[in-house]
Amino acid sequence: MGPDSSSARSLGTLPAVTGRMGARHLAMTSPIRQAASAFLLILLWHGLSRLVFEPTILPSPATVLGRAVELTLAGELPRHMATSLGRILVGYSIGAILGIAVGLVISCLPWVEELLTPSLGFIRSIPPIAFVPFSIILFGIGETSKYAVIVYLVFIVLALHTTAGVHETPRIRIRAAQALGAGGAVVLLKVILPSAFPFILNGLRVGLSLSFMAVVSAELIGAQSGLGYMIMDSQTMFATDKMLVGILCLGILGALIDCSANELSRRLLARFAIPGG
Amino acid sequence: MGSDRELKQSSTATPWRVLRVASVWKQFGPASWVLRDVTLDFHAGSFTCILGPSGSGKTTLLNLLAGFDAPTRGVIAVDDVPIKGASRDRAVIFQDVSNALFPWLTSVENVEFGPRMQGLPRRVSRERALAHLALVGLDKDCEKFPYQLSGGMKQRVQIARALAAEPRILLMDEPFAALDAITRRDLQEEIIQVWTKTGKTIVFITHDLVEALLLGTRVVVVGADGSIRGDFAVTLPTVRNPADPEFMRLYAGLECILEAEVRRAKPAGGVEEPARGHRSIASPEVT
Repeated sequence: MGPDSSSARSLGTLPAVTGRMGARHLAMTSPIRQAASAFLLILLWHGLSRLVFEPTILPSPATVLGRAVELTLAGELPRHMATSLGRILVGYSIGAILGIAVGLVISCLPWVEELLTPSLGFIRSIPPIAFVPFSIILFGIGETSKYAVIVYLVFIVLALHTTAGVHETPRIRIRAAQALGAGGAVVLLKVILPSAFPFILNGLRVGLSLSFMAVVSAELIGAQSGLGYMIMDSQTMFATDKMLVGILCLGILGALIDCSANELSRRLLARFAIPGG
Repeated sequence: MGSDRELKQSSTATPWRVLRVASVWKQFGPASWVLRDVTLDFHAGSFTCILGPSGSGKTTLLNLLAGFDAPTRGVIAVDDVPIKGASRDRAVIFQDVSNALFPWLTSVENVEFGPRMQGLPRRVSRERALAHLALVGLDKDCEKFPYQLSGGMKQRVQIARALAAEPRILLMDEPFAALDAITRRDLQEEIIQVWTKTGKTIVFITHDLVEALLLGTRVVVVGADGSIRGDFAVTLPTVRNPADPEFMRLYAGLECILEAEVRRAKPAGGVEEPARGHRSIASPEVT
């Protein structure tokens, strides 16, 4: 729904009408579709746990749900969840602020950018989990090494998106501002930054889902808390029901974060009245 | 309207006489001269249309006048003070209005950008912006975002935004070329009204001969090679009729020059004509 309506905005009056109608069509059927899809998944899961696997290896949906309630009431699940989300919050915020700032600065210095962009692109293509052991060696077993993995990932994504957005700023918009008396810093903050905003917002979205992946990677190796740790710990205890609770939790959290990020960015783009995004 | 008095006052605040382009040459890359030895005076209060085939360097000339770019040779000066970079002295109105406006700001916020840049308090800037929006007939749409406006309305916002910065000179780069015929006619009338009401000096780039003759007190023709091919004073009344014999006489004369220039811009058989070959054709016309 989110991407549909934002693309409708970018296409002017006529396509926007069909786009909105398409969105409404989706909106009407999608809850039914989603429910049907979830039902099918649970049914399949139930069948597999009954007919194919041992219940100890693949517990039934009902068992997992019971375990989830139990873990929630005991406070263990909320605690791990809060830990993971806290790490995301810290790492993501630092990475995003640094990334946007550095992106803005380097896009104003063409030679620095030419020097840095290929390396950033290369580092970006390395899966974040590969950095976890290295981060532990660099920053120790504590929180810093978890933050570092997230910060590094989010930083690169935002630096790249910000520079791309800066370059997409129409030259005549900058010139129009200059002819109205705007100087260098004002042009950067009041013209280039808002022009790059849809790109930065997109980077913020991508960075958020990446930091979600990164925190789990970091917690799977050498952590004492968090959802990733809970999953790893369940493996050593052979508690598959608890492990599945962790996995499903990640799925639900990820979907919720994605959904709210999409909705938020849609609203922001509408408020800023910027086509596309 | 009370705003009318305010508009007049602002335009007389900084007296000046002439914007002078003296022997200006502009080169992009080796051996590609876009402007050749251009010398023009734009007097305060005049409305000059610069006419030429596409690719003749009209926009380059406008960018030099705006200060976005510097001439390779020659000087551009206002009352003998050479211009240095862009300045709010010379506001620019672009054809590509969607990109020229700030899409994240409402009409009135777009228009008050200039006054805000001059450090005026928010309330004063808002008042001045509203007065200029009223001047172009958009006072009811001041809270709308550019994407909610039609092409013609956006162009009106851009005109209001340029005027609100209180420039001495309005530089307009084919501002109505992308609009439909009816909207274009409306805006042509509008810009004449703006010119008579505010007394601004206007330099108006166009490739449309009729438009040039409907608007300008003077029409300058830039040739395909980037040199000045003709310079006509238009002594018609402010409100013009294309059926007027004098209008038709000027039209016929300009058409001749333009046609020759268009032919020169696209040489038949791909053979490039010598750049300065036809210089003599242009000069005998009226000045």
